[in-house]
Amino acid sequence: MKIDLNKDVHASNNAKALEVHEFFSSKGIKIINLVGSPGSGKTTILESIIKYHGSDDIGVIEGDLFGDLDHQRIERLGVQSYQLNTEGACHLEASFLDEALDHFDYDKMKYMFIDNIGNLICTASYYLGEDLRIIVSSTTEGNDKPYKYPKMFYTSDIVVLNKIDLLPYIDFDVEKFDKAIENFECQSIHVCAKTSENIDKLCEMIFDA
Amino acid sequence: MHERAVCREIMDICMKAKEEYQLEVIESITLKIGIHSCIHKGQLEYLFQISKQDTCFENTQLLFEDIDYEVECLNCHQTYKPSLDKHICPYCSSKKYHVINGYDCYVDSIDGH
Repeated sequence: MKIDLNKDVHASNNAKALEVHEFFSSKGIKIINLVGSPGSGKTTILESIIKYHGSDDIGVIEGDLFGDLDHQRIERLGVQSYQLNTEGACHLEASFLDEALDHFDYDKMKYMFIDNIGNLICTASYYLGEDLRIIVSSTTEGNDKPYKYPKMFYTSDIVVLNKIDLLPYIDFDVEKFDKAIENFECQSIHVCAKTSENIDKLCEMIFDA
Repeated sequence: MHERAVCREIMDICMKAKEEYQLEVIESITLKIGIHSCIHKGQLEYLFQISKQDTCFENTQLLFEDIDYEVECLNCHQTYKPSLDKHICPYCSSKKYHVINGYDCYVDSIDGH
């Protein structure tokens, strides 16, 4: 007997993500999912954003396989932060966030950043309830990443090209990179998290949207 | 390698269906996988073979069907199947598009008794 099911394999994650979204939305908090390769500069960009915007109304959920190094970096800036360790899972799923939700004081919070696992493949498929998905790509990764990982770029709202201070020293074609993303429905910006170049404009995209 | 999570979801979906339809055995599960879903069929098959041992899926076969990559032109709303690096609408030449197929994965059907 054949039974038609037509069930999306991500349906239960998406349902959970909607619960997460509702949890934060009911408190007036916007969720921002930061994705990108390991070493693209997600956490450094987050630090730059916090230094520019201020720490009072931001919370951070840090996602890593092991350790709490990034959590420590964020905590040092006076921001509420919680470290999630997946112990092997290559991406965060919405259900993983439950562990973090009771660890924050939401009184003044307006923005929750999720600093996702460094991964351009699996993180593309797992909606976490975010209002904004930001992909951090860096000049040291090469200008062809939008072609090689299209789903990740297509599903992102903002494409941040980081480490532009290194452009004089490497073979990165900015024009080709910008052309590769021109067809996606996303905003894009070139920044240097280390020097804070254009972090002000990135903050406008995030906080004034 | 998120195929492990996907495998878990497939088994959960099919277990619920097995109970709902009061099946004794599921002989096969047909999956429809978007060709750009980033789900690797070989890895999924491998993980399923391991995960199904000593479960009610022990003799269940996974069958795969591809879902082609297809987009809708945001200008003229025609649909077409582009190559990944060239999204130009063949009808109006617009480069703006929305993906309608090819990124997802579904448990399409099960066969059992």
